Amino acid sequence: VADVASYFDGPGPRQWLAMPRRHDTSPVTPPSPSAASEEPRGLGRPVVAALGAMLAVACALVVLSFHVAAKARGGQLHHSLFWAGMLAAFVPLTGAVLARRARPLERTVAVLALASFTTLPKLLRNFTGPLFHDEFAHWRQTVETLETGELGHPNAIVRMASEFPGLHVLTSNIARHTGLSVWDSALVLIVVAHVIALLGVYAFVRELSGSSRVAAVGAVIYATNPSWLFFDSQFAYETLALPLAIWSLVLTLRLLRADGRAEVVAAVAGAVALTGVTVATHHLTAMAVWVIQAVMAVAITIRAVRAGGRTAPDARPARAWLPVLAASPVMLLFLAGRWHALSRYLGPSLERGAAQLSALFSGPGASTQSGQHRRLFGQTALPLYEVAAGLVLPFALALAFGGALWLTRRRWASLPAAATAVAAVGLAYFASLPFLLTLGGAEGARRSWVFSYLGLALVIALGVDVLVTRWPVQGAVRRRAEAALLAAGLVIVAVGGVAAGQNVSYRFPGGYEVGNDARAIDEEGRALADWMQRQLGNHHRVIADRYSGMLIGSFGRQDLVVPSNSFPAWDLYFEAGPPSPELIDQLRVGDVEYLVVDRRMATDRPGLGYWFTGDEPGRGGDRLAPAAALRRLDCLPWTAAVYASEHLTLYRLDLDAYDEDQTASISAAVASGDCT
Amino acid sequence: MSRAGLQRLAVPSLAVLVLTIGGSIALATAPHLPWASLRAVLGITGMALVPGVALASMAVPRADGVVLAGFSAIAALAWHAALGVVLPGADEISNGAVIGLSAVAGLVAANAGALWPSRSFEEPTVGPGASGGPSFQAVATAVVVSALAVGAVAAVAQRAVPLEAEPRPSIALALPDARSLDRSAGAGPDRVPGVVRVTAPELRLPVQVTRSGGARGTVSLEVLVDGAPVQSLEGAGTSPNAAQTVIASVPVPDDGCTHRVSVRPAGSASALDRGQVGLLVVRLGTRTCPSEHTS
Repeated sequence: VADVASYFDGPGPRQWLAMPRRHDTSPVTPPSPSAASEEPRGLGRPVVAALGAMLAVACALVVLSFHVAAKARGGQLHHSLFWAGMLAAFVPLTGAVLARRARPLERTVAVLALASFTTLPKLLRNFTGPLFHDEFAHWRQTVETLETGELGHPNAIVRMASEFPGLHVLTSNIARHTGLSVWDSALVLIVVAHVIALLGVYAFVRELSGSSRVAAVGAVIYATNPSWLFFDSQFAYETLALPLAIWSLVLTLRLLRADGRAEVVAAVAGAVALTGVTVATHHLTAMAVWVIQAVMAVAITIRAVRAGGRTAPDARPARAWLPVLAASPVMLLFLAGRWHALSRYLGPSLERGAAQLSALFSGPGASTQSGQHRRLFGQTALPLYEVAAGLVLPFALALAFGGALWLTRRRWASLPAAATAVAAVGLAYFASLPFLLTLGGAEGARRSWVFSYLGLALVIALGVDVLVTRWPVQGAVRRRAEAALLAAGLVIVAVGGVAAGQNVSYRFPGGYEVGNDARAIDEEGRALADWMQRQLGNHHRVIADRYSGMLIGSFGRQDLVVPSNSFPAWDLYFEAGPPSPELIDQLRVGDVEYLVVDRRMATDRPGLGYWFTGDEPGRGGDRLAPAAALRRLDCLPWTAAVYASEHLTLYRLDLDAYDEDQTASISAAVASGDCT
Repeated sequence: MSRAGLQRLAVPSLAVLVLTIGGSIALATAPHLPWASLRAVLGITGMALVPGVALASMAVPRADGVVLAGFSAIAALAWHAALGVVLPGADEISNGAVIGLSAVAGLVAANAGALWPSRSFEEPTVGPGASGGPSFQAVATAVVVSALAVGAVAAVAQRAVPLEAEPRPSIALALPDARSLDRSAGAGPDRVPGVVRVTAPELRLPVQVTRSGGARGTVSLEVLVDGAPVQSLEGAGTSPNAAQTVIASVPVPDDGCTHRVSVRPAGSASALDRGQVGLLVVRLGTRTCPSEHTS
């Protein structure tokens, strides 16, 4: 292996700015001779061994937490074990990367270890198959790609999955070329993507700060973001798009200090290509990376204009705009063709979120009347300390962000202008917080954090670096107090982040819970899905609730037809009266062949508050489906049960046999207790 | 290209050749090998070709790295062409997509290699903490190793201790072939359009038993028609988490009435004893019969 200096720990901007450049006419300050003598000693073998041991203990504790959760009948011991394990990794690794004597190599390895370790909980959660809502959609999409070689198969679980095939192409080809199952191929891909993403954050902050310590601390802070442990580790297109986007940003920063035409072309090509692949993988991530690149370009342009004729170290606005402009055609061409679908997919949430936020700020009466506000951690099963950390999290981050800005106020002028832009991106986190109080905007707010945390990570890591750098000249009491404060802050953001990002049903195994996504997946639903696939074949159009639908739309290989306000098929379940002739026409035109009924609709409310979609009538309320409405399906001549288990019944629809008067009379008879 | 550059290029080039040839042979012969895992390893090695070439480009100076970028793209195309030969039936669209993505990834990574480490290689780094870091190859190797390690931890943990709640037992009842049922109109005086018409006195109902949670052994079931047991079934022992289907011929009176067929575990000691489950309503006509239930 050639003796090359590290990419990861190559010269950062501070060193880079001190280097002679071919076209740079500004005076150059040679590196201080003393600098070379400040080579860090390294952590030493005992410390490294202790860190390894702590990681092993941390893994064992996390495994134990899942085991206890699987066996638990109440109690919250598994939460305590989980956090004991997580903090057994987070705290020592953070201490290691903060150490002055740590070498860049050791910091890189620590980040790598943290990236790998933070993949473990999701791997333990569902090692053998998809479990999260979106995973079913992408698993199905990959299977279709693998079996048919065609892209764009309609996907009712996640509608946009069909339009962004990057993940499915890669996964299906890993499966095809290795002989691994689709799920095992998915695991290979997401583990590598997850690890590379955090290394990308490290490289990104390294570029902006010029310090391996700041970069490593930034990576640690980023790993506490609410999506990192579970959402960004699931088999979904965001998981692959995230590292692509982050590395596109890293390339953009490299471009700013590229020297020579070939390097510039290479960097632009790299950044644009990665953005392009991101566009083909996930819509929001592609738009976000493009926006961040544009914000960085604006900041660099402003600094260049302010610098006037003077030579600014990173005043290369033309270069900064290159990736933005070069990626624009890719973005426009790809997204424009999908704009209609995207607007239908994203638009309602954005509109609802904005409207509900507006109502919220109009006064408590307006929002309460609209019934569309949400209570943070309402009906949560989280332990009290997690709820407390989740509630304190925004304030802790605001304090850390503001404090870091204050501590580093003299440092920003020497940092690249792009750092200012990234710090501004961090402010988006605080701007998103009010949306958490709305039903429509909460999801979008949470999704934005994977990007705004880049800014938070940079700013807070810079502040931590300044704080820790002062320690050698400070008294022991103050040093210890600050260390304790930092440790407490780390615990709060780590615990609060997970608490704010994912609910218990996704995080831990446990008993069946009606209508609670990951806990609503059981053998009964799987048996129905398998039976449909085996007995009926693929691609029948089926109406099913969200929870049965995840299994039927994936393992069952059926094409789900999702009710909506314009297609109120939920009336078949929720209204004891006869369905409207218009709905019957829609069923006929839509070629709907089967109907899945979960009889718990008449006895339980779903944990998520809805059976089909967030638009359904009675969402979040306590109204049960009328038993007569479900029982009626056993009596109507155009519905015939072909499969039944304890709670789930599959009805075959024969709409040719539909008779409006007969349906009305049977509905009335069933409501009064007869089935004639 | 300088002589030194060529010498540096020799190692990654050799690696590329070995990977290409070895990977192709592996894929060509792997389907006949008994070790699926070996095939997986070899296949993943082959898939790693492009990034492998790109990483190799990190080891050479800038100009050589640019050459390697092109070499990487060509190698990617060659690799996938080889796949097309050794994997009959490989889909063109899918392969085309992966060729495109691989070529892009290869170019990106190789260009990246041309851009950065060569600078570091040619221009020694300065300042505290600017040297002593890992090479790109080492980081990439560590990514793979750590991914394997975390996967191994999860796999071992999965086998060592239960990490999922014990699944609820489930019994299901299904008609053998819903499509074959005659649902045509006007089959007889007692029948009206759209109802199920069963011409045989016995309706074959396959009973699907799904057992999970590690239970082994025999499960006794009984099938009921209108609440009365009509047949007992013995479900043979199944492996944990496996579904088992038992086919039974359940007699259903062909009297034009609506009948309710259900299944339940026999006896009361069974963990599956949840009463009458898998209730199917079989409509043979519209007559009101004494045995009919509406609940």
